[in-house]
Amino acid sequence: MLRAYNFWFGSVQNTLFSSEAQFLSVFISGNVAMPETTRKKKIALLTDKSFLLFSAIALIAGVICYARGKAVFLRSVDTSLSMLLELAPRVVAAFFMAGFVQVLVPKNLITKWIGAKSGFKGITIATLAGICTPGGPMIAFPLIAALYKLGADYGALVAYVASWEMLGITRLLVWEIPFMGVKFALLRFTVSLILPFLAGMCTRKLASLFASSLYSKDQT
Amino acid sequence: MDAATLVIWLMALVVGAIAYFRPGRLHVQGLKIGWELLLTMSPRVAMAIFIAGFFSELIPTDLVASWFGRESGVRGILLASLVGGFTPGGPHICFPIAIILFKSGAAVPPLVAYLTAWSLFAFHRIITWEIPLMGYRFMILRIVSSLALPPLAGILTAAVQTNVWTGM
Repeated sequence: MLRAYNFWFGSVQNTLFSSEAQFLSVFISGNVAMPETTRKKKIALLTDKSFLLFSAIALIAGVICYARGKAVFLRSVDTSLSMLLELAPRVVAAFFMAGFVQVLVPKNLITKWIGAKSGFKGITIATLAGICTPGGPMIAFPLIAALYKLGADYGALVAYVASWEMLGITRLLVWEIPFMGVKFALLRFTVSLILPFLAGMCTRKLASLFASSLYSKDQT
Repeated sequence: MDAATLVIWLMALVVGAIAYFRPGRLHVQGLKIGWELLLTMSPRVAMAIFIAGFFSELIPTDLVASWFGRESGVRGILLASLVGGFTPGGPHICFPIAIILFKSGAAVPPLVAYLTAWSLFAFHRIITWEIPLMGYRFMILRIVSSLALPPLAGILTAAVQTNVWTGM
């Protein structure tokens, strides 16, 4: 059983962090070293690949709209501007809120919660922790990697990732409520509450299945 | 001022106040992070909204309505899950698309399936974060375990909508 687990998951842990020191720095700060370098060129719009890509797509779509007639073009610009006016005040507040939430939720605490428990309790705690984990992937993934290194249960880990991705507070407050409205966000959130459990349970089944089949292959 | 704007501003004020009353000048740090987010993200969001606006004229609305509309049922939910799994880019692309689909006549259950599939399987995040940090095996295990979730979310939404929450 253990050997099979190592076969399946052992190499993953080796690729996680090249050295123990790097892991420790990630674990303590909750951040990989990269944000420092990305932060420096924050305002340089012309080096922002996402912005350039979006601008290019917008330009092409705009040209196609214009080719369909001036009325179509003007109507689409009008749609965009009214959407922008509607969303701007919400998005501004949402970004500042994301900043506050990020400094308020201690990352070490989340690591401690999930690392210590396993089984159904672990999955429950992981789901709750996923909801509470603020920020984008640059915050959450180093955390997940740290938990992985600590030997957290796979079911709990998958439940944590699924919960953060579907129910995460940043996603909900920064994107979903401003764009889709309170009613839609609440409905989706409530309905999705049990889904991380299902994913976590499924993972535990799959992991044990893989482990036992690989083990019997090793024996013969 | 509508409900969504009010909720967001209230939440921002509440967490800001909590940060202010905590020791360690956390509110300054929070404001800094928020400001940086604003600087990097708002140009992208603005562009994405323009993309969505142009596409709202280009996407045939009758097609959206027939694929993802109220009558589309389970087929619409499955299709939306598939499309969501293959939508590239972050939330600033995905949510404008969802708004346009909504305005073009898509029903709520397919939209929930779409957003859930996108959140779980967004491949830019898998490539830039999950594979480098967690490896292929974890990624495959997670994806297989989560495959059924988007359709489930859509079907649950439809059930709640028809039985409990008839407001939408």
